[in-house]
Amino acid sequence: MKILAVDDSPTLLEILVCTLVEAGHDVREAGDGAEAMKVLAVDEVEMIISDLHMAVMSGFELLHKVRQSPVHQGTPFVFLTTECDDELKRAARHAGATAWMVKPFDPVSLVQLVQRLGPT
Amino acid sequence: MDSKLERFRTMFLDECDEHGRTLERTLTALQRGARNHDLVDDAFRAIHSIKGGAGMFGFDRIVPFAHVFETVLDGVRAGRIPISEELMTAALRAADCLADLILAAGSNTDLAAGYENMMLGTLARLAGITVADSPAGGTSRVNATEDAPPGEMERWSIQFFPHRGLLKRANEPLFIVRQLQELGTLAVTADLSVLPPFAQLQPADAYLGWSFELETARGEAAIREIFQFVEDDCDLSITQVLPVMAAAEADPAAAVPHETMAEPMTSTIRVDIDRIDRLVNLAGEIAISQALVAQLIDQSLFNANPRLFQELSQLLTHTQNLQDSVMAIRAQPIRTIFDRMPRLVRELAEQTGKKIVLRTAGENTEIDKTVIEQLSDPIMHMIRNAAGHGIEDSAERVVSGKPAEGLIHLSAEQRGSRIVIEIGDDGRGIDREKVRHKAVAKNLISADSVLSTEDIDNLIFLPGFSTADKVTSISGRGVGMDVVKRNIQKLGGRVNVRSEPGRGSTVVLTLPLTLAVLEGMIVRVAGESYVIPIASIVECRASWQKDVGEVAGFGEVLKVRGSYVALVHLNRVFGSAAAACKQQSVAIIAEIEGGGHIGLVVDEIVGQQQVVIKSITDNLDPVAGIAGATILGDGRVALILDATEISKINASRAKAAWHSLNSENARRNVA
Repeated sequence: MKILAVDDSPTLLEILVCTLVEAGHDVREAGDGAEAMKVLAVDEVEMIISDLHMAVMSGFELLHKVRQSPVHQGTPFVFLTTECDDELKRAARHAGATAWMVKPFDPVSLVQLVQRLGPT
Repeated sequence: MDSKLERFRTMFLDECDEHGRTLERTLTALQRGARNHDLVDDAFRAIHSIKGGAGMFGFDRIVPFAHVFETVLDGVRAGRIPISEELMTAALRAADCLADLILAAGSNTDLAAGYENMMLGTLARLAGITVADSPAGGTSRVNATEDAPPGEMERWSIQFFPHRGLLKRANEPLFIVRQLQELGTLAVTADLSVLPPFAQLQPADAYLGWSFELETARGEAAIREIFQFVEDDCDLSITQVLPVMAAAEADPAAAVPHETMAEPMTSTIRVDIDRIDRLVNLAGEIAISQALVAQLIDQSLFNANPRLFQELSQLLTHTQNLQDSVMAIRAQPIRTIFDRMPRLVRELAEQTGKKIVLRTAGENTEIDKTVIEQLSDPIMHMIRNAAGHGIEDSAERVVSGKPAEGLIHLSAEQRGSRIVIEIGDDGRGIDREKVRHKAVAKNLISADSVLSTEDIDNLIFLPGFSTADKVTSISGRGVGMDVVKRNIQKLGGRVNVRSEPGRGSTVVLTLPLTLAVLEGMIVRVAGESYVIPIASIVECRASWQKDVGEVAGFGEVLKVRGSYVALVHLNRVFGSAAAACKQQSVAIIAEIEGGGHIGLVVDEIVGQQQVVIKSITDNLDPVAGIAGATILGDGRVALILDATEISKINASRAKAAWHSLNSENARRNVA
């Protein structure tokens, strides 16, 4: 599956990318929302996993833009963040997020989540 | 910690260094009155990233601290907590504390228990939270859906009817089904009541509903969690049915098939430093070859072949670019050292009770990696001196009309082929009377020596020198200055100080861009060319003969400003034993390690140029007095002289002569 990973922490992004690649996925990466939009402009992905707090463009803003884009409006969008506030989760849901995973994450669980969200 | 994450540890610690620098920059600016919202955002995100990563690596002391710190910054971000100088000062100390925690975690050492607690308490108070409130957030929550401990087996009836737009949020009902399946045994019945005829079907709309019967021991919360993201987009009812005895669990989810590991793409590459050194060497060789070629080509060749000139110019440009690029590989911005200084100044200010601010400039100036680490201690030492001796306390400063806050400035700049680093203060300056007095008292200079103000200032670099009335733990005895000078000279650089009484002092370090290159003075001795490093040359004397003296049992000496230096005739060392002294010979006074000087007599000075240092010890045994070799523009080899070594040879030769003279006398007396 082609997945876009977005996180402004280079280490965490690397861990995320490696986890997904080792599970056999094709991964694109971006360090913030603006970079992510650039990637999405040229590449069609089947899932987006993104951090919430990022410079330039936050996770929420990115989600908003993604849901407005013709190509990716239906693409599963997962937030991967240290936040676990219920209010925040509800807001994310309203904005169109598909799922929420908390950091620090267990790589095995992430891979399973990705598999569940993906095409059958 | 998960062994799979081990390989990312160093990366994370490096990243934390970067975040530390961001915190330093932003919090300092905010402390000084900047109110730019971006600064608060950047600071918040830096702490947030540290927290997130620390959780992944199991750095358990960092997470709760970072969490409280983050909460404070979040409060500031949202306007709930007002920014004040006091708050930002505390924030800066918290950033220091966080840096310590990270350092300890990274080096697997333990900080004293409770090290961070007081800081944590202060932060919590400022954030208006009790420390107990601040859950470690991420550490215990690994996966949102797998936390609930298994309890009693229960049966649930779940009616799930998505609204039309559910799919538009990329929520796939199948995903929900799979998650329910993982909780226990699931029976599914689809509800097709709303499904329209095919012709009217909107593919992006949801028309199907489901009825689930689930047997699970995980409890209602686990079920609700699954629907959490679609709650508003559907009609949902979860009701418990009669409890049932534990039945066989559904098969655990099939393991993810293990694919062969794919190598992640990186945009950096690790290279052996040896290979880089070899590359630097080759670039130097090419530069030399090219210079030789250029010399061989004369005008007639150009006339015969006009394009030759063009192509040669191109070659010259390419070679220069090649050299620059290669040198740049090993170059790093000096920021890595400069960034450690603000914290040092903060600590010194606290220790001395003085108000001191540090201003830096030129952090992006790049220096060869081999040089950079050696600069940290000298620079820190000089900042300590400035804080301990230079800057007066606020009361004294105000009395003399200065601002209460003392200023230390640290700057780096590239000037031509050298890097110039300045460490200055606006304090009381060097007390020249005191310095001169001390120097005479310690027999470092003679009482009647004539010295310029600059000379007096530079006396502080002599070994055994100290103007401190008492030794303080901050700057020690001040004897470090001679060590500083020695270390800088080892790097091929020089140190100088300039000072204005009452206005302040500035120490200036001048360094070559790279250790492989040396600024040298080309001299001729007995028909051969030699190189003397400019950094160690103090003076060149054309008419030196009148100042020569003879010391019995030692040899010749030269009078230099009131004191005597050993005099070595290089033509006797390197040429034939009785080579005559040329008329226009020059005595070059050079510094040697340990603070002394030596006079080297050469036949003539040819000029000054940059040379690429080539080691001779790779292929030959070391020769005393020779530090290396280089190839000059005319293609000839020139040996690089080591003044200190020559001085040692001279001294031991004199000693030997003295001994033999003594034993000769002894024999005669006995006989």
